[in-house]
Amino acid sequence: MIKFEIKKLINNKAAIGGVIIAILILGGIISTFFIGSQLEGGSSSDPIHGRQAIMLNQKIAEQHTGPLTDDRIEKIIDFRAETQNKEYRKKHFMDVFSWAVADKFIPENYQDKFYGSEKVSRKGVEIMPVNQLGTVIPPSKLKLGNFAPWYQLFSLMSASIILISVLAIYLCSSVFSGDESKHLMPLLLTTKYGRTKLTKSKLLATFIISTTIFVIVQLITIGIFGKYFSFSGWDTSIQLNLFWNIFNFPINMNFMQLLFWTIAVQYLGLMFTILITCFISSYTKNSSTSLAVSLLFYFIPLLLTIVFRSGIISKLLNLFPIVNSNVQKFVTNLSNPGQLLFNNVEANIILTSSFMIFVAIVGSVVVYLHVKKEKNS
Amino acid sequence: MDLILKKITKAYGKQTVLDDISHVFSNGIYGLLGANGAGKSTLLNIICGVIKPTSGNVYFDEKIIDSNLQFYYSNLGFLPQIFNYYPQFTGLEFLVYIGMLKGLSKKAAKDKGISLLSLVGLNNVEHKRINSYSGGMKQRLGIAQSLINDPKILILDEPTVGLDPEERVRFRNVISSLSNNKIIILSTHIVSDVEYIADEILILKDGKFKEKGTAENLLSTIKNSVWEFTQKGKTSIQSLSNFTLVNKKNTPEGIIFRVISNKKPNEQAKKVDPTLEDLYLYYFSNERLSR
Repeated sequence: MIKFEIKKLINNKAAIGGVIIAILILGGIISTFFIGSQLEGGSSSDPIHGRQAIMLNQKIAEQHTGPLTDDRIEKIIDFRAETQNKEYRKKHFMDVFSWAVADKFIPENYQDKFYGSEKVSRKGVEIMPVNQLGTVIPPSKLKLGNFAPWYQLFSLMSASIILISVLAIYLCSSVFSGDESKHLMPLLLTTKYGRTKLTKSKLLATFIISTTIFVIVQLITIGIFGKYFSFSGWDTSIQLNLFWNIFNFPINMNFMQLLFWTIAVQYLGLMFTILITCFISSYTKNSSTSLAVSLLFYFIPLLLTIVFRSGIISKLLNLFPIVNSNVQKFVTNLSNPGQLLFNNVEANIILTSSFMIFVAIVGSVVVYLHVKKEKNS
Repeated sequence: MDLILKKITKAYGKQTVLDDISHVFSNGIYGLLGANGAGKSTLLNIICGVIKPTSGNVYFDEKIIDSNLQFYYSNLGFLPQIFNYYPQFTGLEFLVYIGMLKGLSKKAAKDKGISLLSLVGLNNVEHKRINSYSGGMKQRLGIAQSLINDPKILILDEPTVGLDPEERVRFRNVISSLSNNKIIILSTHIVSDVEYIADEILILKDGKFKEKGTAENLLSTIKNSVWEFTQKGKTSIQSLSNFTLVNKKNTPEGIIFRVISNKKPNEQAKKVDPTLEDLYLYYFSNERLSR
């Protein structure tokens, strides 16, 4: 029966159209975050650009990979001064790694001096000691490495999960209301399994569809990431993604671990979203209404974060997928426990995951019972 | 196993649609006649457990249907008045889907589906998508799905809507052939659907079964009320307003009027044998006029 339910949801022109549009948008997202990233260098007329610029950025980062020490930072900044003067400035090559290190460790009042008008100069430029960075974990236990491509990957994943969720909502929102709008409920509900197995099949069909979309999109994006940037820098500490300010993130975690963690949190969020969609669909009479209400429910926590920037409501809003599926925002919040309900990272992670799992389970049980007892009064 | 309605009442706010209806259905064909809006569909939906009655209960096999819905539904076939199909399904796929929902294995549902499609004359389009079917073909598919689990109770709400005369005859033959071991209730406002096949006719009016019985019994109630007379030239509408006009037929001798009236309408009028259509109009013409 699951096969039939899947066919009902995806084998129609509207669904196929939605999938085609989603593929085009995904192409745009990949192009923006991977192909159009800083790591590709400047314009195509520059001597070093595109793939060559990516490889060179990777080489530079890998040369300086290792524990975060003052000595290493100094070497990176020296390297930047030397290479900028020698060739990179002339060739308009953006060495993202050393630029970010210099930006973070050379205090603002020395920046102009360092870059100078004609030459980059180390003379008289102070460097901030690594122990002033404010890390919770001792700096020497943190590993610096090729973080820039991973920043691009997590930015892309934060955008692509919205696309995945919207597509899944679009395809699944008619799971119950579609039958209702076709006046098929009286027929389905008067069959032996219309109030039991059918509901389970419908829920499973939405689970399979949304999981498939999620897996395909993740495979595509991570596959392209691996092909384009390789997985260089996977063991870099997430605190040393110098584009995020999460130095006080209290758990020693690398990018590969964060990737798995992100996949798990986003997947839980997707399941939460889909089961809420099923819930809404079981209470609405037509597909358009269930789509509109489901999308509203998905996006409204994000809109509310603009209204409620602090306080308990703001903390509660962080439990919703649209808010916590943004990797940067989530790890930033975890680094600043005041933003979340507990002052402890582990407790906040457990709370967020438990909330989504709990709502998803309660949602499915309510849908099941609602359909089982459905009778017009 | 009888299907029993006990004191079924259904009200929407202050409006009572069904008022204290009781009846026992045994094997046979029951024609539920009523005007549009008389509450036929509401009653059938209550029998199917889709709508909750305000009071009263439906019993099957001496148990309230709600107490064991799965058992009840494995014995029920239902064709609702209005429903669409999944346009992306083929006719056979739709039957397999419904068959599986009714507890058949996929193979059994497919085998049964093929034979039912043949029974309703859709075997040549079984692999075509339903969105390519005509209205009549869709209705025949609806009839086929209601039979897929070989139900003990078959509820058909306006089953002949959209069928052409030939399809209607075929439908009547199919239903007649099934009536030995089934309770078949079909609601309609098309009198000829039930005239020849119903073992019992139930006339639903003002929320109650106004009359029930065989066609013969019911016709006897208006035996002295159906008249025909011929008039030459124009007849004023006013002169016809005292009785229910059933039919008007132009002949070389003049216009033959068929009317229902408790009194002899005029001197030339002759009593004629009533038909079920006369009976229907006898009960529902005033209602229609008042709409």
